[in-house]
Amino acid sequence: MIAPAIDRTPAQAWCTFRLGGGDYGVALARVEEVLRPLPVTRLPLAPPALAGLVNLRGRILPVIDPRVVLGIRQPHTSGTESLVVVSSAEGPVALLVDAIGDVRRADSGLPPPSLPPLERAGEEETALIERTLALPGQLLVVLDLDRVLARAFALPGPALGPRAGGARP
Amino acid sequence: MDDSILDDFLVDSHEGLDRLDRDLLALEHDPAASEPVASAFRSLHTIKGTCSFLGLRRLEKVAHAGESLLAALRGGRLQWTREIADALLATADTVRAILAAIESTRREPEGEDSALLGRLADCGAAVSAAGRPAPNPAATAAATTAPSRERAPAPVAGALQQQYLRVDVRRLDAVMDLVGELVLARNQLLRSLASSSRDGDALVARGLSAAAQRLDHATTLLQDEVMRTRMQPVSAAWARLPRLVRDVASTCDKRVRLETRGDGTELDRALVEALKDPLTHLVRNAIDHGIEDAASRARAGKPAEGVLRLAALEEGGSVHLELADDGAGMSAERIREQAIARGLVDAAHARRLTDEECLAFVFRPGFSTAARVTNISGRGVGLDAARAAIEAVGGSIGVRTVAGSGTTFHIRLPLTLAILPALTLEQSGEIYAIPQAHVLELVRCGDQARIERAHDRPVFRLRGELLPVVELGRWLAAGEPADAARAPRHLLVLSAEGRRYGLAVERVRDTEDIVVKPIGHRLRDGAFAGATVLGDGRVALILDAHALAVRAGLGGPAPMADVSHAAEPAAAPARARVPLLLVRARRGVPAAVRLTEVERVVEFESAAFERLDEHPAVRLDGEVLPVAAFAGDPSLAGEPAVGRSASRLWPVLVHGGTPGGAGPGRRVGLVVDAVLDIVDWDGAEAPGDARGPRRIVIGDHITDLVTLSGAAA
Repeated sequence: MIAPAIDRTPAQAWCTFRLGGGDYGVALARVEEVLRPLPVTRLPLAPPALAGLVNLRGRILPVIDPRVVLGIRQPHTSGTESLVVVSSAEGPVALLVDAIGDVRRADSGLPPPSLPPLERAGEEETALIERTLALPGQLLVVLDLDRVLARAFALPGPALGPRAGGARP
Repeated sequence: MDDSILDDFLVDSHEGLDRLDRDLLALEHDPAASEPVASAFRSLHTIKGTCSFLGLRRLEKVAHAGESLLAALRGGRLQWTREIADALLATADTVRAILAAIESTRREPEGEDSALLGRLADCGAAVSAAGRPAPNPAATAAATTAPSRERAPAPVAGALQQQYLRVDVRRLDAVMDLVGELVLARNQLLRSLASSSRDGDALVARGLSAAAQRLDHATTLLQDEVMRTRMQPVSAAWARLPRLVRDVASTCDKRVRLETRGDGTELDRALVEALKDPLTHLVRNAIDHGIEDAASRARAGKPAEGVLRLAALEEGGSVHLELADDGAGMSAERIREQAIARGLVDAAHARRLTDEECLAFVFRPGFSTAARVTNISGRGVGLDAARAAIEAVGGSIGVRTVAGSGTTFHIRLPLTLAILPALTLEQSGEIYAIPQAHVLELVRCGDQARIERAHDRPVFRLRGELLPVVELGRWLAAGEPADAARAPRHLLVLSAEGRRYGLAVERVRDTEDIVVKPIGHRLRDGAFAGATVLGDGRVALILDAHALAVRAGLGGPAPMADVSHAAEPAAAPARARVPLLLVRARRGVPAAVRLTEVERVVEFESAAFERLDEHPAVRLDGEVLPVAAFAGDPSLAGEPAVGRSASRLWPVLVHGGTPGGAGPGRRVGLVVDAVLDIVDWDGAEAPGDARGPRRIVIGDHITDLVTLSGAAA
């Protein structure tokens, strides 16, 4: 369980998943494993994108909801959720996704044509997207994982405790 | 360069340098000793040899110069002097600094060492300048005997080394995690076996339960062994102290000797790390302020050389450390004055405090500056930081002092950070854990005892004292409207950083030994100390008692006395009120014990009672706790009442052997039927039979007052 060095060479293979209505992907080299949902312990006072903590064979991992980070508002689909465990500089992190997809590869060795960022994404969200790939039969939004994680931890959480609130009933 | 070779070199060299420090200090005490010279020479020689192999030229040069000087000493061509000692210690420091740079940058730093090399050369030149020193018979003898003695143990050391393996701590942590997982799986298996054996196939159940028992046994042993691999001798925390003592003492122009005992006592390496800074602090303090200068010592009839005694021992699942100086001690009276002057306590309250309670002020933040400015005795500088560091790892620190003859700091640490007795509680649908070490008592909230508001802050009335309260539910909900169904029903009285406060929670569940898992610092958010995995595999957050107090704004001088509050008679208690724990003894008879006698109350399943040498006992904190029922009640443990037939939870009052308390008192437990309440007793007695138990009056009722030590004997 020693964190391996993180591979940052340009990806030629992606692990794909669904968030809201879209297909997203992260570099396959960063994915440690994919799990069925585990019971999540809520983290009070945490940033909204931090869904909580799970126990993965004795290791405790934070669970990130990328939909909050990306500003996706469609409700969660239920029954098909998965956890995608990815490596990060501070140890593994689990991404809560609506459904897991296939592994897609750039078969020809040439990177598939890239598209301009999606329209609905605001400027902040755009920075989280590495590129958009036009794969046969699928538009895949490849996420910049490090930025997504950094944003997830940085989003402002609720006010901290009643002390910050001041007036109370 | 190969990383693992370099890493090995760094670790080896740091050990070598620590050894070098020790040897040089030993030589200062006894310049004629030959073994330290030889050992110091070997340490530097090894470093030099590896440097040349790894191509670290600068380091090699420095080590070589030091080695040459030691060679001259070893050969008796040179006499030990203070200058040589200083130059060699400076060499060790330089090597250390270069190693640190290599560790962070992975390459040898540029730098100029000519000043040091010149100093070493000058020391060595004394040989040629003075000619050969007069042949000193002792030195010659040492020179001739040293090599033979040096050669003999070498193979032994080599053989010994082969029994050790250097293992990455992260690998051990990973093994530890998996063992924890194994423990959970075992628990689950045992639980489902217990429930299936009632209605399942008896034969299959028997076979399974035999297998489960073996698994249970092996898992317990494995867990223990893995834990032990993380242990380190406590001496690793004080390896640098001899050097520190020398340096600080010479800065203060004092003579101080450090004596250590119990160097082999083992504890978790994380705790060894956590001890280093506080110990450094305490030692510095003791020399700077505790031990007097030579003139004052002479006046007091003490030897000119001050003594610092550092001792460690393992007892009852804890490691106890004592650092004692034979200095002037601290004056409780002056601390009392200072505490009043600094507004830490009002004068009336201060007068009621015992000397020990006054001493505790030295650990208060804010007191330290006072100490430095006015120099009461100089103590207290940063002691709050030392205490915070020790409490952060679940330990505690206390101080005793005798005016004129010295001060002793006592530190208690858990054996391991990995497993912690904790109280689990429930709030708003989630489960939280809080280390037992912080929990003083548990109070049930009801109509009679409820949380009130003073200046819009929640407070709780506890035996004439107003306790500030943190309402966990409100706090976690961050100001959202409170849910009536989630109203707190229990209040934990917590102590953190020397302050007491209440934590109101929805429900208290149980005490549990939890395995502490780190969570990223970004997740802790100042309120959580970590997380743990519960028996069912879920994650529970561990509350940080200090952070909660700070976050809830519990600062400033307290405790407030419950005097200005209107509801109760304001008169300060004229007669001392004694807090009592009301319990129901076995036959439904109520009885009372002094709360101060009860270390804590733990509930045990009927099956947890075992017989040991014909005496009933339970296991608590990895120790055997002998238990007894109230005198004259034969129906305990092993008897049908506490047998398998009537499985239930039995409250056990644990008494004595309080960690950090005076003397190693043996802990005993008293089994009761139920814990009823905590009440104040105003001292009223009922007439009773002189031979029987003491009868007292509480409210309108008459109750037996039982002493735990007596009842359990």
